[in-house]
Amino acid sequence: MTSSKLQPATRRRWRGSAPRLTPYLFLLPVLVLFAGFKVYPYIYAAWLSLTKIIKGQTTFVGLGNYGRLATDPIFYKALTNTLIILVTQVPLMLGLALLLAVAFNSTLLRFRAFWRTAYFVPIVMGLVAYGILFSTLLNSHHGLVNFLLESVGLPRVPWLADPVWAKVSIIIALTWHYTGNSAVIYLAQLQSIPGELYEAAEIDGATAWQRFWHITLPGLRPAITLTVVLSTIGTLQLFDEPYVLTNGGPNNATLTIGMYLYQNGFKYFDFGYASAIGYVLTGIIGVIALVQFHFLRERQA
Amino acid sequence: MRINRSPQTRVASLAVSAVVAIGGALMLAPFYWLIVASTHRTRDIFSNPPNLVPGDQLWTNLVNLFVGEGFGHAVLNSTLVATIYALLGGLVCTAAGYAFAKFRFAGQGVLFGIVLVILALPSQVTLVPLFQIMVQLNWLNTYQALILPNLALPFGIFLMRQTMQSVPDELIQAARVDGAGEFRIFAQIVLPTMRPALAALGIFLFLAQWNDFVYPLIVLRTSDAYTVPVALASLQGLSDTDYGQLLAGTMVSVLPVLGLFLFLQRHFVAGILAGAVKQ
Amino acid sequence: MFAATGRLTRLALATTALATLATAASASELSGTITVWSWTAPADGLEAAVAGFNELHPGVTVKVEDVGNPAIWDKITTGMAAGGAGLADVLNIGIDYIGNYIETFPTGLVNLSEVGADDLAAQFPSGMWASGSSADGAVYGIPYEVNTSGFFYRKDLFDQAGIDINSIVTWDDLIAAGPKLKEATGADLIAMDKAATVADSAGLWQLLTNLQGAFYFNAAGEITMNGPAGLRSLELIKKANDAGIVADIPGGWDNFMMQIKGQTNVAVIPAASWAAGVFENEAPDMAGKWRLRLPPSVEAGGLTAAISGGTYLSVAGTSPNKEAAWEFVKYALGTLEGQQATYEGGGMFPGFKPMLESDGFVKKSDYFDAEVNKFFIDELGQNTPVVNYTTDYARALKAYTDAQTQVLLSGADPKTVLDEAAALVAGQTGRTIAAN
Repeated sequence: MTSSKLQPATRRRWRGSAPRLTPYLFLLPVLVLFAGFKVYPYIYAAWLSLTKIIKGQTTFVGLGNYGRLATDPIFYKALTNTLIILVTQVPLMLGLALLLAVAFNSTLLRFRAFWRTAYFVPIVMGLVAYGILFSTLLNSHHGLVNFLLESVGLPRVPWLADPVWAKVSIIIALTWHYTGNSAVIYLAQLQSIPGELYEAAEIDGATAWQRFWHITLPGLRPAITLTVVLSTIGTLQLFDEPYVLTNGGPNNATLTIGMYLYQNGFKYFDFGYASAIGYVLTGIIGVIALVQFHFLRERQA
Repeated sequence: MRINRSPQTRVASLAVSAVVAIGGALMLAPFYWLIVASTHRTRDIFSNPPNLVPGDQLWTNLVNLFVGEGFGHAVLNSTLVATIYALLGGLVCTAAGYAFAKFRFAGQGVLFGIVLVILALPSQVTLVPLFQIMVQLNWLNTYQALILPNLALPFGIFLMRQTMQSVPDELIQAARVDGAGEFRIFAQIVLPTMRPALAALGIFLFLAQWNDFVYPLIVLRTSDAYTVPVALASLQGLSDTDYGQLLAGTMVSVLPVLGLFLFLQRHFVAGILAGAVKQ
Repeated sequence: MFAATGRLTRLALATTALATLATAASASELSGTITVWSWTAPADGLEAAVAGFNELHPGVTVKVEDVGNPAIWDKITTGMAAGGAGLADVLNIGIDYIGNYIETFPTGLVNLSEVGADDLAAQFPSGMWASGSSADGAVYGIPYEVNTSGFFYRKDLFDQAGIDINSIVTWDDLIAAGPKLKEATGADLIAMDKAATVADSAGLWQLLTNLQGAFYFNAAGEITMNGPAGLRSLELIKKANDAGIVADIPGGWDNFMMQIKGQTNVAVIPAASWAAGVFENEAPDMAGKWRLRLPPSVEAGGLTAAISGGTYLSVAGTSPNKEAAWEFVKYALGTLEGQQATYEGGGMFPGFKPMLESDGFVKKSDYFDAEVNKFFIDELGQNTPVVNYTTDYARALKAYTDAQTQVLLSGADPKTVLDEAAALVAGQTGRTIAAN
């Protein structure tokens, strides 16, 4: 930035506008922390994605890992699985979270404080307990869920053994785990919608549905953008659920990109390939996030 | 307080309450199982049909855990680290979110893009180089190694950027016209209106640190420095895991977070009620 | 260019390591602190050896850290990938990981041959010893826990069905008895995790293949998983599955528990030797019902023994106290006194022969009505062939379990899926598929 450019801008400052430096000052801690702890790891990982360990030596292979990735059928399988989970689970979960947040905020719901907490509990559950728990619940022979299904005359479901049902199991587990998370974000945002808007609408004779559609939803738009983008990123990086529930099986039906990355890095010690997967994933996330931002902003206008 | 409820409202209230309660029961059922499991020894936890009646081993499991394994250290470490992290991180993320939401400045798009990229690259990929930094700084086994690297949590920055959008620009402009300094505006005008979001951010930051596992596992060296998830992982072996103890530990580890949630959640609902009172 | 400088560094490092160790060996008094990374019971075992070690080396402080398993693998792998930074001095490493650590991170572990580890070789089972060494015979790990394959069966169910267990010599005999057993008792012969919900769902195939003297790879590192032995194993598994005598039980400790407690009705559990203690501790009510024998052979007269996993102690290449670390490993695993303390403290089945032959090591178990340790000593005596895990065990395991899942769940042809799996591993690793 040149000083000649700065000059007119400074003069244009009117009373009530912030000094140019202010936003940078607010961002300063973040910039320092990123410079200290993020720049090196990200560059290192990028460099690593161009290498391969050959006979114990880290060797530069150019875009070799990316080329290999482009023709790796397991990667495409993982990508497809991840996208299927993404397009089914994220709308389901966010829809539920939205309704929940509205309920949590409504005087119609009794014992609100209790239920808010109840839906939050799963987020805190440790991974080990989570794994044992769902294996206990979804076990096809003596799992609780099949026991209940049979007791009402329904057939047993091969929760983890069938490629489709295994995905369904992952989606159920994810929804159980994270719905409360999004509901909390919506609930916080709901608080910023002025109560007068609802009162005015009620006086104008708007139905509950109209109030939801014309006041609640637009008011929640920033939170919706946030949760859509975050859930998308979280699902594209999905690791925990397939790791503890299905180990990516049966026959890779629930293998996700996150799991494949972990396997390559920490099981096969191929950190070069794992880094390449990481950067390709980042690229995919970047494209999807841009589309989402564009789409959500357009609707906002 | 509502006193007069129409019959229609009552029916609606019952319906909403019933649906939420059924869902809530599904959410809580696993926690019930966890509590029951922590009252048994390993062999009684896993049985067919599932054992849903509490046993008498809770005290034994807790004694093994806290006396035998020194789990108290871990709870203390985690509480301390997560609290400091939530406070400092809350400040850093809120300030950054404010800058992104309420200012227009050169490089804004690029900087927010960087936040998203950091969010997007899986942490497994950057674990090794981050560990190298900690070795270089001689920070292994320290609190700052747990707190500082992820203090500027992209999720938190993003959360605050989004929620800050609801702060009316006129409010900030008016304060500037009145001659208030930028940091005063932030601290005394903007922050007080953000209480629900700050409460949510505090919970998420606390939780992020509380649940973090792989990175603390890598940088912590001695059992007296372990955080809760690392301590729980150390209870796992190949053929000799004491699941009663492990699940009792899991149950205990849920409690502080629930306490914090109960403490902070009143702020999620404070807004509308406060607004109503003001009128 | 990278390769050349790397090799030089490696050479330089190896030479320095050698020099330090050589001078240390002559020094009488060791001092300093060494840290040991292990998990739960094995950590207890090593902790128990510290007191005796300190009598010999009072200047050395030994700290045993219980990291937990599987947590320890992420911790060691990260340290290795960071050039050995921050690793403990002594590392407890699984047989399924050590080959890959040795080959992928050549300076990560100390070549113990250079400090006289070879002198211990004769005292340990050769197959297990070899799996802790590199392809050129340099020793990187001393066997700590040596597991062989236990064959646990429900005597009550076999009796009820009127099947004489001694008449079962081969796996074909066993599978043939399955339907009769199921008809009489309702119990399945065996359980498998058909959908492979946990990583180690290939245990039965590995056992069957080991019993034929083969594995995923041969000694030369070529892929043999789709060879005659591997194919025969999967065909046996398919035969049992098609006969309807294989219960589909997801992996995981909970399901293992339910099998040994008899709540999931299966007649046979092939499990590693460590399981014997688990039966006694966790299913006391089943005393007298479970029995232990050597596994049947695949072909009559074939092997009835197999190594079924195990762990090693290694010294980190970056350890500032290599001499003390090595002395501790040697004491805990390679002396009768140290090994006795270790065994009493943790119960890991040892490989050290003087220990196996020592008084009181073989004891009668009322639970199994047998001298349990004798079975496993017998197995170690059968000279099982070297199991070559290579750098690519994890990949081969993954490819195999996917193949097995296709056979068990959708009836795929064993030969087709094994050939595909072998081709996949070949493509990923650049290894060649062995000519049959």
